[in-house]
Amino acid sequence: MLITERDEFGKTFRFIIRPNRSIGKKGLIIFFSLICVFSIGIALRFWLLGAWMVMPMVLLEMGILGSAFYLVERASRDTETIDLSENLLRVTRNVKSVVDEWQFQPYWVQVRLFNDQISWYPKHLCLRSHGKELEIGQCLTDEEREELSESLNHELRIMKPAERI
Amino acid sequence: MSTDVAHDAHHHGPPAGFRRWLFSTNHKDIGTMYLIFALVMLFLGGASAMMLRAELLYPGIQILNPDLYNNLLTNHALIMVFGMVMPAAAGMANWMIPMQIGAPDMALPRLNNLSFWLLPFAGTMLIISMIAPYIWGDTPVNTGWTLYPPLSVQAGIGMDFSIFTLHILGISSILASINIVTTIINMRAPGMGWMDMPLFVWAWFLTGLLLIMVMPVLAGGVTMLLFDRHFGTAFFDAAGGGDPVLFQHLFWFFGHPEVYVLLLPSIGVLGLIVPTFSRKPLFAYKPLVYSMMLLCALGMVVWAHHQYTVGMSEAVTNYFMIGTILISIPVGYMLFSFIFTMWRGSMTFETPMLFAIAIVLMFSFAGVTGVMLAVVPADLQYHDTYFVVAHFHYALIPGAVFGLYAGVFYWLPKWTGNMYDEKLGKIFFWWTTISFNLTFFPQHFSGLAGMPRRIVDYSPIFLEFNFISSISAFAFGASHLLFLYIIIKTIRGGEKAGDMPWDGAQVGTTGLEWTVPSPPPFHTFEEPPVLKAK
Repeated sequence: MLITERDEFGKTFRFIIRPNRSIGKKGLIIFFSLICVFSIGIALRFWLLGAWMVMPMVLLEMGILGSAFYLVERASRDTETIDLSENLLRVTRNVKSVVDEWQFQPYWVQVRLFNDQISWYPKHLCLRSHGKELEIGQCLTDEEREELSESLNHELRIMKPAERI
Repeated sequence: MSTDVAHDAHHHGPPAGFRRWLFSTNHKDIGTMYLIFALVMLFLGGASAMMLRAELLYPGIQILNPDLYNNLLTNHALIMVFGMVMPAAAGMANWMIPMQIGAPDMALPRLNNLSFWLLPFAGTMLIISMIAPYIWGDTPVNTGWTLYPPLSVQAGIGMDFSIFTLHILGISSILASINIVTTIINMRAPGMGWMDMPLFVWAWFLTGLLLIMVMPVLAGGVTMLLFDRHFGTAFFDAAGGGDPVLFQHLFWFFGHPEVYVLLLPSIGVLGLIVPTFSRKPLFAYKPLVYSMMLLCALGMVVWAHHQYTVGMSEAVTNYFMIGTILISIPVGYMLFSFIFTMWRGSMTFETPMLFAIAIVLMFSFAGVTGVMLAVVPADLQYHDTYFVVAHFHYALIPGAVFGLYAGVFYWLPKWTGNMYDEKLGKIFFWWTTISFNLTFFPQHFSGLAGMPRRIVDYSPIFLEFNFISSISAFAFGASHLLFLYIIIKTIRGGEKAGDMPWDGAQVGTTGLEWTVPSPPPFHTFEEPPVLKAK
């Protein structure tokens, strides 16, 4: 998901990228609890009939399902922030609470959007400057990557002195 | 906070060769692998069916012995259910669900890789289960796919491999279901509510939930079987205080919902194809979704109609009979919904639509014989006859397999970027549909006349029905070589497909898959600058 923040003059100064989530933490917990109630209820009934081995299978499965939900929920907290100012383009990435930061000089940085070697793989969006390259927006869809690429190019173009003249 | 610099502009591409496929986390790669695996299994399961029908061409024992016949019969079912239909549906889910809901990939891509790569191991294990008894001089697995004890407890070493095969296939299905359910609830595009999802996504969401709830029951059941075989327990041994009927309850608690697991993805495909080629939105979308939910709910509480003959109490039998008959309501609603979508639509009859119409007609027929089988006094006559074989093949081949064929023809242009040969597609449709009906329709009569199933030989009075069935089955099997040819031809080239190869798709479906190119444009780099920042 791409969120664009603008100042009072309508100028973009920040892009926030994070994985799109269509359900909140509370919704996930409710959904998981309902599945647990049904599945454990089924296993309990079979236990009473003598088939107790269904229960460990259900518990194992609920463990995997719960872990899957937890991992997805945790990943939804990851963010990538691109701060733009006249003298600095800063990318801050917060993945699993570990924060990394990259800095570029807006005058020199190039935004490159290109297809993967394999035709149906997602496109790549990179910031490139002085032989260094950083891929951004890996959790975005191709459409969002294109939108981010266009917006970044637009903002960088109007920042460059030649463009301002 | 750590401050880092961007990586050097390396020139390393994605893994090449087999490593790309072995380590792939891309949903389309994995979807493709699922579909190829299912195609291989289709031919393997089909070959075993051809051998069965060759044996049944004439009365008497010609080419197979009774054990081998029952072994092939068991493996035909296991391969088709677990190795073909489920992976094919999972392949379509992998390909289409992220595209339809606007997600970049599946929620758990590495888990997705694992759930696919378990399948070849399971397939190998299944083949070992066929070979092992001959190496160890044991009896082959001859129980049928239901694995009922006491026969399965007494069977040779092949049964252990079959049980482990089911374990691995079950783990694969559960992991795939967890991934699909997690993807659908978490990763729908902003603005896509539950009732905005394409029917295929709804169908897979419900399929995933069904699998999550019933698969551990099968896993528990077959594990108990394994314990009875090797660890001295007596879960299913009456002499030790156990109950062999308990296994039947465990198996069918999984087995009946499994029918809907096989069926629902195809219903979902129909929910896209019928509106597309009728050029009308799906009739009564929301009630159709509710009827799918009702189907799943009812499907979970009517399992014992597969075992009326075990001697349940009258009240219990009546409950299962009434519950089973009630299932015809949501199923009927679904079929009427598709018919009303076609009603006064601007219909065209491309191959996917032909299959869709055939499904509505032939699955309705399976519904009628299903109601006949639901009625206890009638079922006591039909039980274990070819009438049941005809019924479930009419349910599963049109209901599940034809739905998958329809899906393949519908999405092949999207997957490959090329249009398939429509003329060959139509020939394939007529060839399969006619030969399928000629194969299985006569089995209703042989069943009603009392021909028992799962027996290598039969009375000469059933000769004509079996002869027609076998010859038609060979034609049905051969038609799949054309299917393979069409797929290979389309992959290799053909008329280029647009982003939306079916003009009706913009009216009929709500998925986002038609907004992306078919396939995404290829771009070659001399030195591909594929870079990852850490």
